[in-house]
Amino acid sequence: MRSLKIIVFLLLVSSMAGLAAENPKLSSTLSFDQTVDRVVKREREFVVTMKRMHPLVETYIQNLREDNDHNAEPVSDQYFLGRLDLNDGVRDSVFQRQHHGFLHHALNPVSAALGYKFLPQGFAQMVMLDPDFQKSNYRFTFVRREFIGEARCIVIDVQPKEKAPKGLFTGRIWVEDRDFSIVRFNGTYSGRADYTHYLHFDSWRFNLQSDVWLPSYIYVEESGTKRSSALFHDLYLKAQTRLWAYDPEQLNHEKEFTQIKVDSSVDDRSVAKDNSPVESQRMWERMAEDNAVDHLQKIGVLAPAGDVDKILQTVVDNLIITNKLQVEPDVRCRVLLTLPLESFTIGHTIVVSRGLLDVLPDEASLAMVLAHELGHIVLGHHVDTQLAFNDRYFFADTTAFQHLHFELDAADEAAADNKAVELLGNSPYKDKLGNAGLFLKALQDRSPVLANLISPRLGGRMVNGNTTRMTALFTSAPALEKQRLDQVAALPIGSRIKLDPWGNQLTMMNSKPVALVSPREKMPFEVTPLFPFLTYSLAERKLVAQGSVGP
Amino acid sequence: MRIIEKVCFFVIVMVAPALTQTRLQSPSPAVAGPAFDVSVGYTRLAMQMPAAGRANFNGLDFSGNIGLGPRWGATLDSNYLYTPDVLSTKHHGYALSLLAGPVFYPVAHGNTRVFVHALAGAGLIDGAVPISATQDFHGWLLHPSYAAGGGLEHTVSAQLAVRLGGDYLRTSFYDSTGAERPQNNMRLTMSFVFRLKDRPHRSSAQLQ
Repeated sequence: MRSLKIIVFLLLVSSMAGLAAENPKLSSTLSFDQTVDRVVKREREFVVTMKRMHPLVETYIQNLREDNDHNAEPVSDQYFLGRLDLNDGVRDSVFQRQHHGFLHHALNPVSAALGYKFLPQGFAQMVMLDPDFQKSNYRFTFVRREFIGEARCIVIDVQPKEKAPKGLFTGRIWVEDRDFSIVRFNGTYSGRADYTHYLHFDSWRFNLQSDVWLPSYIYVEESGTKRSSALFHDLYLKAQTRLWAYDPEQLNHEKEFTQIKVDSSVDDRSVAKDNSPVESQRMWERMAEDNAVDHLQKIGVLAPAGDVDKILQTVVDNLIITNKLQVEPDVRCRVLLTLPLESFTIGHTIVVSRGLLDVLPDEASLAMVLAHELGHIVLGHHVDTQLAFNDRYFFADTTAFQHLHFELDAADEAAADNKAVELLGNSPYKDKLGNAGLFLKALQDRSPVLANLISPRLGGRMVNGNTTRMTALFTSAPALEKQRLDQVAALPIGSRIKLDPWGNQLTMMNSKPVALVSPREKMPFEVTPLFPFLTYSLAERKLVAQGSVGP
Repeated sequence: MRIIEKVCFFVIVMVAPALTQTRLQSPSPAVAGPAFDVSVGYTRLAMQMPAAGRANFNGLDFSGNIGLGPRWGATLDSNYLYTPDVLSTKHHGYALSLLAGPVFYPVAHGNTRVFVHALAGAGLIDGAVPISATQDFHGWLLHPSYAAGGGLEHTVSAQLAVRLGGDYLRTSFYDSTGAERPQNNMRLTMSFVFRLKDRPHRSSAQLQ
């Protein structure tokens, strides 16, 4: 009996030692006041870190209107892409496709004066809780502890004190308890003015490097009194802001300069080394293609080659093999990191936007998109070989959409449509094209109100007025029935692709299929909130693992 | 000239604090958009009749406002003022004005903000001027009119505010010789403002 007690005691001691060793930082017991001190100190360090970062910031806003049945649907949208700079307040250099001059504004005085104007820097601002976070300005109230993914968090309510200055954050913060970094904050800024508005937001940070949690996703929602008057309606909107391209090495390739690799040169005179004119032409076109792809990746709008590309490549290979095509050089697939729905080809590289991949309902719909682009390649449509000259890329990042265009003319698009129908007819997707047509119908249905979502930045339009791509599939598809739960023509934004904000790598989301309860949950092309599963970066996990080994 | 100097001084005093405020203190707003309101209230005008004396008019003020920026707006203001007996002539009189112009908000603190406006339009004066102990001159005159002044606006709730203002109103009327004479009169207004779009109001919950 006594030996049993000793064994139990030893087991308890060893398990407690193990728990303490699992994370040495947790073993220290801090009062709530000391915890708040740590949080404030950590947040101030975060502000310094953020000032060195210049990620891309993409904001997509959907204005909503409620109908008589209380169903909220988008009625218009707005899109911004810019590069963030926090060194002198919040500045967001916006990528513009067109420069609107004085005349444009002069000709639209009523809409300019009476309409709401969304300010990109105001959405970018939501990465910051408070640029000058001071304990003395706020009241902190402990709420509870909870897990968000892997991160064990302390939940604290934060309110400005009565005498505090205007514009302070008011809401709730989630602080992970290893380093006391704020990983999520949810609320708004206080003390608004008559003409300008602060919105309610839910701002998430991801652990992108060891000890570094950086803003990655912000969900914004405002629902006023929803009055239907066009002139006096309140703000009623949903929006999302995503940040990526934090890794400075993506922007400058200085590291590559320090890692010069010299491949061994083999002199084999028996192999033909001279290039025929046809080969030279192909090489020239490939050079233009490579230059454009490299540049888009360098400025952070194209994902580096990765897992999602392989999925696209598999579908393209299915089309090529079943149609017995010989395509030289090889067809490659890449993903544009931006949200607007577009696909295009740069030479033999098929580019599909993240937003388009997100909303496609199934593989057959993806095959439809890829078949259209493959049609351009097979038909040998024009490649802009001017892009083979490197001086063509000497422009500011923010003007990339003005300098790079990959759209083709209407005749080429129609020819690619016909070719795509032919390619799909011989493919494994030939019996599942009804859904692809339904997707086109859903896209056309929403196109009048989601003008910014369907406006391509680099490629051609998927919907143009009353006509869509692949008209043959559109007309042969079944009728769009919005109330039918089993007919999902398009998915909400953010349904498929997960973006690593540090290195821009894309992966498929690992979420289980959910049975819909009502047609309202279909939300095609709509912005929805995101509840990411927070994880510690690999470096952080390694640190914990080492800790558990030690005494 | 003295009135213009006074107005300029008033505007400078109001504008100076705004110019010294730093913009970096507050977070950048995400949305900017017009704010609409309408107001109705009591107004009083002390009208100096040329070479005759002073008549006090009382009446109603109606105005509509649109906010076009954090510090700028535009207003359309109309007045109807009445007096039953102008300068003991047994004649009633009234003043009707319709003015429009820019409004500037130089300072805002909590739920109170200061405004300065400069308005232009037309003013119709119907009145009487005594010519002798037994005779008077009665008539009306429609003429361009101007106003410059300012005041305070205090937000009571998200959709209601109280506005107190005063301005110099320049109108014209005849003197006892029948000649057209300009006149500058002090106009005081107290009105209730109804906001057609909610103005965010600092509730007590936020201040706790």
